Amino acid sequence: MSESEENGRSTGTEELAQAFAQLRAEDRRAAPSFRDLVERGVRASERPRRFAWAARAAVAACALVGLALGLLLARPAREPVVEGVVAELSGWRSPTAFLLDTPGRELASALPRLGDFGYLVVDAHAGRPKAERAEPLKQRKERRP
Amino acid sequence: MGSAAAGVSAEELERLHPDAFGWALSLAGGDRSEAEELLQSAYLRILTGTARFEGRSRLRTWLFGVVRTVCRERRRQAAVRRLARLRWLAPGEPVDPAPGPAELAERSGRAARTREALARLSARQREVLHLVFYQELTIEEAGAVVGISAGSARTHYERGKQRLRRLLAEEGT
Repeated sequence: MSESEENGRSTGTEELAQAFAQLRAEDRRAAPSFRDLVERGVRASERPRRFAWAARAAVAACALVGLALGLLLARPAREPVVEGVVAELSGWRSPTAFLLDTPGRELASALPRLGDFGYLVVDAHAGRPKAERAEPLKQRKERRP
Repeated sequence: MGSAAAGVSAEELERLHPDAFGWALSLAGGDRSEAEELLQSAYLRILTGTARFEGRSRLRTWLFGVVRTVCRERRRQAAVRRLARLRWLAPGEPVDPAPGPAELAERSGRAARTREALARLSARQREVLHLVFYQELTIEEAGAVVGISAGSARTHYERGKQRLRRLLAEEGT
């Protein structure tokens, strides 16, 4: 039994066997050293590990910058000030503001002028009803007994 | 270089290295640097214990299976990278660059013509023929390395052999 038949090959394969034998001989001459190949492989596999931390830090920094930018862009813009709201606020009066409307409060808010003693005149009718104050002097004399 | 995990020593790998290189070269379509990278990855997996030999087949057959697995994984990764490049970037690097003068000179030999003829076969036919004729495995063993049944391996072997013979005859080898 030939070697070819032992391997389960069919007959008539000698020419192919020769072609492959030539190919094998050429490949063996060109084969790299086993040890060199393994050492190069070990060095190549260590290189990515050396830069792994730098790569991770760079990715984390990029992610943080992206997040900050995202938050900045996603923040809603300030609404324009509405004039109506300003007018409403400026016209607002406190419910207890009437307590400040006391007689003679203009004296506290105005400056006295030279020669003007009007502020010294005391209203004698202060505290009386308005109708009584407006009564003419003649009518008052007639009412006297 | 220390001994390997799972019972496979560096010395055993070194003994099988010429055959493994031929197999890697065949899987890489004759690309020497690609074949070396395939072998580097396969050897590192074996020496670090990532790939474990459990004695269910011959060590040589198992080693060829590991090299083939690495080759398939690398092709898958390369395909994903190519896809990503096509999708996101401008057209990538040329897939099949023109051969240099040294490569053209090398291609003139008979071995190179055999390699070119093999490249025109289907991947399965090429793998089975290489394992049977180059590595002198049986057809059943070749089927086990490629991951197909013995019957299927025989079919690929017969068809591949006929086609290769025709291709070599056309090229005047």
